[in-house]
Amino acid sequence: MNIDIFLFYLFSIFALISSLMVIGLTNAVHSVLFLILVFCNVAGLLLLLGPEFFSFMLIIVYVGAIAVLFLFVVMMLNIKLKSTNISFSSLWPIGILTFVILLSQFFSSFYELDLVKFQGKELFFISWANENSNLTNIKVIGKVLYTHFNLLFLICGLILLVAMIGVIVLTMHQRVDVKKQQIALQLARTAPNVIKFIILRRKR
Amino acid sequence: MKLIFTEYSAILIFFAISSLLSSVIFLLSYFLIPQKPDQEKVSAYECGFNPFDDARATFDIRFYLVAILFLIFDLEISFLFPWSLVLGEISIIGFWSMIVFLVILTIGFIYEWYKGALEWE
Repeated sequence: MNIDIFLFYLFSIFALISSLMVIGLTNAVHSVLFLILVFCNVAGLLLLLGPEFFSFMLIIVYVGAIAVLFLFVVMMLNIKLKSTNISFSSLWPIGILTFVILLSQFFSSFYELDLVKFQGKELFFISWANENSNLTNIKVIGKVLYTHFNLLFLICGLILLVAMIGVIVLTMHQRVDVKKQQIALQLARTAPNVIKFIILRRKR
Repeated sequence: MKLIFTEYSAILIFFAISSLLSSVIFLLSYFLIPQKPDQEKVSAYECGFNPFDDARATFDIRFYLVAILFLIFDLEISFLFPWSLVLGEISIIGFWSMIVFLVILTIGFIYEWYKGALEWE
């Protein structure tokens, strides 16, 4: 068996199993951990397709940051472990609808694009000149992102700015009664200003 | 098989060895030790007392603030990385667009600094 087809099956089976675990487990922390496993496996699938930089960005951003945010949300919501018996019968129509849409997209993407060429056993052409032309993935991105897609890049910066300001506005609560260390005041403190003699008992 | 797979094959071998090794160590420690579970053994140890509270305590939202700010500057660094590789090959507008991007994020950083979001109280 060809090694990349084997890896494709390995990553996709792991991604499938762990995404089933994400929606199946009752403990929310465990499902977030399985979500991290899904992200890692999808990054492996993306690495198999070729864009290595995107794959590592997926790991850095999703696993390194967004999964941590999910964990924080889970820890902040104060979810106790309890067995909830929700009747799933009301969820069947929307579930089937989503399933059909996803399945049709899945099959169309696999049969039209034929992403990893795991259907045919015929040999295919590798242009070694293209593979070896010293133009790595990151350079291809960098050459167009900052010049041709300049506007999208700057819009991305603005979105990050909005996210930064939004999170500060939403979560900052400044307490006034907190005693902070003010070094200038501490250094300016001298003995004659501070020490005061009180005469407790007058001499007769 | 593409050419980049041969360069990443070392990482694949590392993954295989590490998963094999960790599963071997886990299974050995599972099977080799005597297992006599006890009420006192399996309960949570909290400095010799009985556990006061649930381990899943809610914590401050300020951790979330720090994590989101980390995520934003992490993305900024990951935008800087391809730019630094191709800086000699792209035109001058590529350079200045990154400078504008950095200025936009620096505005946010100054806002954050003066708002005191980085201070822990």
